Amino acid sequence: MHVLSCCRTMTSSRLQRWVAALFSVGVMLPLLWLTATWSEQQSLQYLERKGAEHLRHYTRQLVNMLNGYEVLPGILAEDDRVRDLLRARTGTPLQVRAANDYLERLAGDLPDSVIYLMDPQGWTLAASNWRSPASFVGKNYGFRSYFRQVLSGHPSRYVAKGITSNVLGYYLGARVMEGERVLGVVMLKLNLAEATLSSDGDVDVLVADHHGVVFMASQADWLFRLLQSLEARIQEQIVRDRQFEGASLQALAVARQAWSDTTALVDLTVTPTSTRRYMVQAALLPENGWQVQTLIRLDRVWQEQWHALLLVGLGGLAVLLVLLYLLQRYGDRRVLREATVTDALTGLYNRHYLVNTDSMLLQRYHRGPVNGTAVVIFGIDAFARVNQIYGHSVGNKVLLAVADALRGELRVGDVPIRLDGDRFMAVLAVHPGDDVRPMAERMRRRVQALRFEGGLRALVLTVSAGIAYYRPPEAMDRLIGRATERLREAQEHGDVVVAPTLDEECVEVSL
Amino acid sequence: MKAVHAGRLLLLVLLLGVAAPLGAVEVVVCGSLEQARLQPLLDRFTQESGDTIRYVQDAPDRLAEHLCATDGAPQADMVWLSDLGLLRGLQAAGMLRALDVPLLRSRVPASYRDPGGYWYGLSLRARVLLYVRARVLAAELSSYEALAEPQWHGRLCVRTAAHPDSRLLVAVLLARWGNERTVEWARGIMANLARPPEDRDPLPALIAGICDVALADMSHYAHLRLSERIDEQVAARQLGMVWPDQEGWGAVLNLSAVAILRQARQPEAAQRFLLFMADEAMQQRLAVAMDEYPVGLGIPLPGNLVDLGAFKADLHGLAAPGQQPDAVQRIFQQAGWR
Repeated sequence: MHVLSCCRTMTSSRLQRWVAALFSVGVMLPLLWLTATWSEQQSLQYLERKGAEHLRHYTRQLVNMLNGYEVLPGILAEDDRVRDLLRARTGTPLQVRAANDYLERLAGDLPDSVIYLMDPQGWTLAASNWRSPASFVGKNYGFRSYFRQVLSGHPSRYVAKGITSNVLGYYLGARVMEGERVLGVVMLKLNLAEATLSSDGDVDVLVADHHGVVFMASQADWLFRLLQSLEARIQEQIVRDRQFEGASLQALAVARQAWSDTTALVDLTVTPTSTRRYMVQAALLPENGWQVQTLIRLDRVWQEQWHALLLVGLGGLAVLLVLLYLLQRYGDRRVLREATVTDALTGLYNRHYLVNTDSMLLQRYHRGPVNGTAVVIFGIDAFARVNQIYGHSVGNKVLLAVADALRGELRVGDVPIRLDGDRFMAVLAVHPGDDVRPMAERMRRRVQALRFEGGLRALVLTVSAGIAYYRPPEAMDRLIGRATERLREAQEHGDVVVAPTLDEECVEVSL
Repeated sequence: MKAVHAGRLLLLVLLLGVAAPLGAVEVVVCGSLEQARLQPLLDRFTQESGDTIRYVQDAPDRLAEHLCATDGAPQADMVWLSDLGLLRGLQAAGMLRALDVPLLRSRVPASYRDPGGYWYGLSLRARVLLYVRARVLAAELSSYEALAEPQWHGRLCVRTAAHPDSRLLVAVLLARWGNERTVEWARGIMANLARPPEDRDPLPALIAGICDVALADMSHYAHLRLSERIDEQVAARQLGMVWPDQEGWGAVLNLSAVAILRQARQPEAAQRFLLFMADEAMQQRLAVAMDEYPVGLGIPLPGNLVDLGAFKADLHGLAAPGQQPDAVQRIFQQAGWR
């Protein structure tokens, strides 16, 4: 018994190991993979919506900041005092002082801005910052492209670091005309250094000009970096203009991968040797040629993904533990049940075993001594047609009805078996004087009398049977083979029983 | 048997009647935009509002005269044109209905709508310079004006004078430069042609090696870059694009814009559709579908347009298309631009 218990415990442990392995590979791994994918998609979709909202917010903030300034140079270009000074070119000190004062007063309402007048050669004649040590007055900025653009009548929206002040500015200008004659230009420089953009949680923002040079950013490291590679001629122009003097203009992004129609995942250089992944969305300000981008750090996505994986992993572990506990309990119950009907010392069955088996043993006694064994094989006639006409589900109903009929014809101790397909077998204990044929005939009639409902009302079922008695020492296969042979013979006619008598089979008493 | 069929038909009609939202109407939109690319957006409107959109596509230059009032087709409620000049032509003919809806004004910036509310732009695109990388350096190209220089002799492709794209470009250049300089430029362009102007987009001619440079629509190039066909991917890699006039006026723009017709039988539903399409999320989808830029502020751009880089656009030029049609026609005639 100890050996038995030990073996069963080992079997149970092996089963548990198998279940644990199958659960881990078949359930947990796919579940974790699905969780990782789903969690990543959900987080990225959320961040995409958040990025789009921030993009709208930052873009509007930028446009609102610049709105109103666009028309100012045009208005000043029509101003008589501006025209007077430009007409005089090199005015008297009094005239220049008056112009400086005038521009200073105008710029007083525009914090950190400078208004200045330039002659057609690019010399600054008057400026609102004339009192400052970094005054523009007397300086020549004719080499800068904004000056050439404004002088030729083009609109100018130019971002650059100031040559004199080294302060980043947004330059707006207008040409001052007198008839067909160009008197000069009036320029407004808005101080962009003060207009800082700040991060909002994990959302960063940057603004780049039409060459892709970042000039405003919530991360100071990104300033004067490039969103795209520059053509040599543009690079030369930036150097010639001294547009971003002192800036190295190195590429910011190292890799870009589209995630949706309007969103990309981009790796940005954080240090020379490391990168960080961001979700990036971009909007265009076509009037300025600027691109506004929101960049969301994806660290949180990986964090949330990790949390989801942890949660699902722990949940899966709990399910596995419950499953293993149930298996252990089932195994223990089986061992316990065996133990209750088995003698612990000898390994033989004990009295409890008799509780379940005595009725069968005693009933057999009441039927007298057994002197042989017979098998009867029943075959349902033309069962294939039943399946063909009514389908397999109806065929199954018919099989159930025949099985019930067979069970009803057998005594306690006889064994009903479904042999295969449409064939049933009964293994019968044969008592002295017993003839199995009447039982087979009863069974045949019982089946013939079966009536079905619904669409099967017209179905009349018949069975044929073949009987064989056990001839020691033949094997069971041989016994079944002989009965099958007789069944085949019976089925040639249909609805008959083919059976020898007990004497013909030369049965020996087996008890 | 007939009674059974009649009964089933009645049931179907009743079911459809119950299923259809109360008060749902059909809006007829005549447009020059490609229907296959717009249809998902139109279906979305139907799903959300219950109103259906019947979109009838027509060639841009024929649409103005047809307005889909051909035999068997219902009269149009709206037009959705890919050319601002044609739309201004309809406006000048008094065929459009003005709308004064604050929500619509907030969704479409002032630069991209008519001040009187007669039409509203929903997406924009630019006229750009496309070139064959193997034969042209990007540094050689910078402006529309430079295309008229002798170095491009026999190397250029443009569209016909009748095509709205050509008319729009010349109208904007006329407003910038005046008549004399624009005629001179147009003559230079004609002298540089590699083949006579054709009605269709010059992209295939560039790919076929007929010309080295072409005045083209950036959205066609952006669309080509997204193609899944290997031959088109190869072709897209062989071509380059330059945003013109970046140190001057900026690239010339055109709008795809919507207007409600004076003759509209369903003006309220048409207005609902216009408001729906002007919504930020729908502008974003429209931009993706058409490879064009959304007009609304801060709307995320399609990835293939982000790849093209930012550009300075000539927003003042949007005032020019359709304003002096006769002057534009004379320039074409004087330059021999057919």
